[in-house]
Amino acid sequence: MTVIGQVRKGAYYDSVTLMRVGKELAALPGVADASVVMGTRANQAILKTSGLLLPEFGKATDTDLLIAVRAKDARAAQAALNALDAQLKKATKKSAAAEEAAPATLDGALRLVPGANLAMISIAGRYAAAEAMKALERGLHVMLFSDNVSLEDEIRLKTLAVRKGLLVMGPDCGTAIINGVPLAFANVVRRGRIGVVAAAGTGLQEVTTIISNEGEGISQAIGTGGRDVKKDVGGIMFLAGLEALAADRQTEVILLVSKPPHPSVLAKIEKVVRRIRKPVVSMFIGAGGIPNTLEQAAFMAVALARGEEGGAAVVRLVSRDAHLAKEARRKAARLGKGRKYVRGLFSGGTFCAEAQILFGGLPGGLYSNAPTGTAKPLRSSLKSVRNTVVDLGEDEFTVGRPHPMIDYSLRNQRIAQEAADPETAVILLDVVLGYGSNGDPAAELAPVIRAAARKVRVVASVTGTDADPQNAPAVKTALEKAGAIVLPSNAAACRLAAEIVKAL
Amino acid sequence: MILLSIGDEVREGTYRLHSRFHRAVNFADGERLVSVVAEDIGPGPLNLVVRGRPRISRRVLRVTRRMLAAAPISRTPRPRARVSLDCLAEVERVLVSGAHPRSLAFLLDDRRRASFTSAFDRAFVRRVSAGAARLFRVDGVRMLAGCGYGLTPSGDDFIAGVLAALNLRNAPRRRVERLYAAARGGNLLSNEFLRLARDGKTSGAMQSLVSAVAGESIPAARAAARKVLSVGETSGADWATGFVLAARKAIP
Repeated sequence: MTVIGQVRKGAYYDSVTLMRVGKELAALPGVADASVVMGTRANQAILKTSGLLLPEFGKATDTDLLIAVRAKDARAAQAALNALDAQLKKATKKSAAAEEAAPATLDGALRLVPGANLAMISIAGRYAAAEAMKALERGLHVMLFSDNVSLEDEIRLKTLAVRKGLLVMGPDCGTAIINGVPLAFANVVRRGRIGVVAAAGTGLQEVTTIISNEGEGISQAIGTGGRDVKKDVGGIMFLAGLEALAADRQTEVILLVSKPPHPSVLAKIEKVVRRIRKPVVSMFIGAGGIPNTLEQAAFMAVALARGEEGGAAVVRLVSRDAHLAKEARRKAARLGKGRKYVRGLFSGGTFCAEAQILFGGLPGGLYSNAPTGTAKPLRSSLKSVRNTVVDLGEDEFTVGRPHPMIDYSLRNQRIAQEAADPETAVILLDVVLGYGSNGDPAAELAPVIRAAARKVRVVASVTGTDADPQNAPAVKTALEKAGAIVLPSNAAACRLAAEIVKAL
Repeated sequence: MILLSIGDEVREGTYRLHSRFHRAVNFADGERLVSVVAEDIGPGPLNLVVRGRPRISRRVLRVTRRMLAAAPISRTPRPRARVSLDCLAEVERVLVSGAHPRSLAFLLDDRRRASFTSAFDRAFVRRVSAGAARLFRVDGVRMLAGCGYGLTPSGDDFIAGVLAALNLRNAPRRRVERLYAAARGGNLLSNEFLRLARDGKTSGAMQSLVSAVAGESIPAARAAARKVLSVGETSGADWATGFVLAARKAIP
């Protein structure tokens, strides 16, 4: 190995430029290591420890730039030094361009970030497919946040993507976590060995945060968009994601989340699962069997990652639910006469669907604006009937308004309305944290919960981690102070709400 | 260029071009620094804040008495000397989740060490960790001073954060002076920032963070922490890491 270097007098660059250039030089053929740092005594000491200190560095001052390259031979080392100026110029130009320009096209963005390998697309649906196609043609994976993309376009994009070994997450995909990076509405979770494929955004958020809060972590969480597992799309991306996680060395357990796939898609998924050697937990909301909640699925994945039996996790949750039933009886005892129904007000569609599964068999029947299972449709989404669960993310609530995960005003009004209804016993809420969601949920919810809790029981779940911008434990504490009963999962909150109603 | 404000440490004199960045152009007269900065960087003791970006092609800057009299002077407010542990915890949380992967926030969360892969990086992490373990000692500061990448090395930004925290906690003046003296090196920029930190003077985003940690509002602390992360590339995060560690550690 050869080590050569240079001293550049009075050369000033920011830290990221120097790190970037060092990394680029180290990636050149034959180069084992490279450092580009200011010539302070401390840095010289560090260079010495790492075997990169050269005699000519001894006269350098704090404001000189030291460049050291270790390569397999003198030729490779010299070639790296020769490339230095071009690298410095490129790196400085990148920083300048990034500061100055907001690119107007995909190609403009790629000039700024030539190493990009994923494009996130959030534009009007009628233009989104064309941009997604451009991205795929340039070899980028795509996260397609946009909705109103035609079925034909979705199939065309996903078919091309699979041929090129790329992902198309979407359309209408709001959540993913790729290489530890939360994308769109997603949470800050630990990295680890459990991989997720989800056709349900808040479902992905729920399982990834529970897994992280239990001390395990996420290798990758791939969103597919809800339509992917229906008959027409045929599960193209769901299957591609599953295969990718099966091949991924970091992933030891795979967790699948969606509403029940079309039977033809389910058959394909089962065929792939049978040949995968890793444990696979499948959570198809409403399909029955075990797991039957997102929470159970997450706990099972955690147990399997630790080499334990998945069933043991389910037993622990059943025991927890028995405690919830006892608590429910205490909570029910002090409610006013005539109060007998639950009113679930959800910002996440998946949570609304899960609630309907868990509320099956509630006295008085169940209604929803997005009915599934045995729930009946509401005549008006604005007026609750008996036991009602409302998906506030449905079109009738979101046209011309921000999503209810961001803007709580509509839900806050509804909370007050339901609390004023003499038949309401329990108001049930989901509070979903993470990037993209409301920045200060506790401040916005606390006053309205405080007022409501004087008349009804307010039960809430908080989906998030302590690393999320909103800080899940702090939100939990604030909501409890306001009078809510806070549970760590949607399933637990639904069970408690159901038990309170049954105990009345 | 329209001059919006002048920092209260800017002195009359002739300054020569020291270094040029996109939102800041630094001039020096051998011992003192003056920075012409963009509006979004904001006021600071040594800052001349201009509208838009500082487009200066000349290599000499004359700060005149007339200039000092004409533009509003920005002064560094002194927050009351207290540290809210809840606000500090929130700042730490924001740092751990949002700081640049190659900043010194690894001192708050071991998992961040994985971003340091080259031989220099690994030796750098060891040295900084050893220095941070001796936070209020001269030998610790000497290990940190001048350490790391960038025109103001990470170690210097970290020490400036430490000094800012010690000032907030009304630490004995002698101790602050000793640590400052141990940190000074041949880098004018770093020396000036350290001098200001020794005197309890910080710029814009850092000042907001100091005030927020001395206050009661966790959302304000969170917002201030996020703003500090946007200072420089890793400078803000490095400063904030030093500040957090020094704010919560018992002063011997």
